[in-house]
Amino acid sequence: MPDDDEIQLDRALLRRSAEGDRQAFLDFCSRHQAAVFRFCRALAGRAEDAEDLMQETFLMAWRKAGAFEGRGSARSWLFTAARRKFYRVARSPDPVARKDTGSLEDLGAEAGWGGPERRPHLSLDDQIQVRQAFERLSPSDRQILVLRDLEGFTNAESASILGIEIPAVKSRLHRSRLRMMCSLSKGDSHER
Amino acid sequence: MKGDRLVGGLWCHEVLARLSEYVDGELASAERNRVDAHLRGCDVCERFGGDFAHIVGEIRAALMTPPPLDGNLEKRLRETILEAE
Repeated sequence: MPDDDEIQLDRALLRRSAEGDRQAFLDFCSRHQAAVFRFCRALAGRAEDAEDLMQETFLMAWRKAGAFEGRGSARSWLFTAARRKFYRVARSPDPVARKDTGSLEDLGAEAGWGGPERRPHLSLDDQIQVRQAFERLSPSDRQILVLRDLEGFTNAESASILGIEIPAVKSRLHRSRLRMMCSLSKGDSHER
Repeated sequence: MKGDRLVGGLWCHEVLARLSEYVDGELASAERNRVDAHLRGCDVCERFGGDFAHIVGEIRAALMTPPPLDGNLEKRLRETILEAE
């Protein structure tokens, strides 16, 4: 979560951008490019599509810098815009809005809950395996994991970005983590 | 789960439902104490809870180390912004 100084710096950069200061906007882009790209990758999957989405997101921010009201962080404003753009272009219903009604116990059992053995701990060499397991997840699962576990957004910020309530964020995060365990297990069995 | 047990005032399935909030430190202290008590007395949940916490840590570590990115990504974004109206 960005501190107050970071938030104020973003606001100042966007104010100057709104007045036409292109260098200020490029500085703003440099501060957020990596995180926005990671989120676009979670949404779009392919790196090429993620780059297009990232470019569209920053173009929107350049054109609408003056409309940024500063109620939340500029970072969450960018993430929200990236999501809206993605689902508008994809013309697909936003799956995050759909309620996940499957049994939590069944999902837990698939993830290893109640099983007889401890999962072997992953080593640094297994980071590729974790990334592959992550890429096998749905965009909906990837989004929530990026927001909460990678970018450190709070439940409230994540709820605002995703357009859902805080309890739904918590429930989705929990299920997405369990599905990540399932996906890792599938990767293990594929390799055997 | 077969063998769902009541330990420390919570059933195994109730602990499963609370694992993310437990790992994230979001449970109220009384609730956290009940989960702790269950985990101390239930080897099945202790084992799975340990795996779960480990994976949550690994997600962050693995995704923060990005795969090799196209080095021209920033350059292309810069060009797009410089050409934009």
